[in-house]
Amino acid sequence: MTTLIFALLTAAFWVAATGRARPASLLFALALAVGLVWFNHHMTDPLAISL
Amino acid sequence: MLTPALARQLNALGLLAISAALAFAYYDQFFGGDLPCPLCLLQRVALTAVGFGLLMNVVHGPRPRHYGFMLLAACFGAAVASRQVLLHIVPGTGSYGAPFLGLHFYTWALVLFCLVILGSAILLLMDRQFERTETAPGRFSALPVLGKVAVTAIIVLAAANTVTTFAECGPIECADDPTNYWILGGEPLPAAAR
Repeated sequence: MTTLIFALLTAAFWVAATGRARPASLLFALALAVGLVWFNHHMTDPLAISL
Repeated sequence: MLTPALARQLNALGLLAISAALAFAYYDQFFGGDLPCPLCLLQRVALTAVGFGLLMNVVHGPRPRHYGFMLLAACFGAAVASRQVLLHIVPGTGSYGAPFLGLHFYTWALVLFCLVILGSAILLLMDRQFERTETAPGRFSALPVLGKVAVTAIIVLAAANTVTTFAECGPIECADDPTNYWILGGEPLPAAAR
C-alpha cells in the first residue's frame, strides 16, 4: 500500500513537470487520502514492535 | 522583496533540501543497515509530498495553493512522526533505529515538518511573489538549471522509493519491525549485515 502512495506521488511529480497542474493536484490529493487511510490503519492496529 | 523568480529559486533550493533528506534516509538504509518501519516509510511519503508543493512552485510559479499542498503534507508528516515519538516517549520503551546527532530519525522528522510549516507560513506572508508579473516556466524543459536539477532529483527519489518500498514490503503491508526485504524472502539479514 505504501508503494501505491509513492507511485501516485511519482506520477503527480511527472504530470506536474510536464505542465498539467490540475491532474497533478488530483493525483497529489489521492496520494494524501490513501496516506491518511494507511496511517489510520497503522495507528489502530496492534504493533508487534519490541517495546 | 520576494519576486516570483526569487521565490521559484528558493523553492528549488527547498526541493533540493527535501531530496537531500530523502537521500540521507537511503544512505542510512543501505549503509547503516536500518530498514525503515511502516511509520518511517509514511514519514518519507510525507516528506516526498512536501516536495510536491515545492515542485509546483518551481514549475508553475508560486501560488498560495501550492503552499497549501506543502502545509497539508507537513501536517500529515508531523502527525505520523508524533505518533512514532509517542510510541517511545516513556522511559524504558526502547526506540527504533540508531540515533543521529542525539535524536532518532522520527524526532528529526517531526522537527523538519514543524520547520516546513513555519517556513510555509512565513513565505505565505510575502504577497509580492504571487503577482502575475512574469510568466512561469510551466514545464520542465523551460526551467533554469537549478530548477531542472531539483525537479529531476525529487522525481528520481520518489520513483526509487516506489521500487525499494515494494522490495521491502511487497504489495500489501510492511512488517512492523522489518528485518529483511520481502523480495528476498523476508528472512532476517545476518547480524553483521544489519
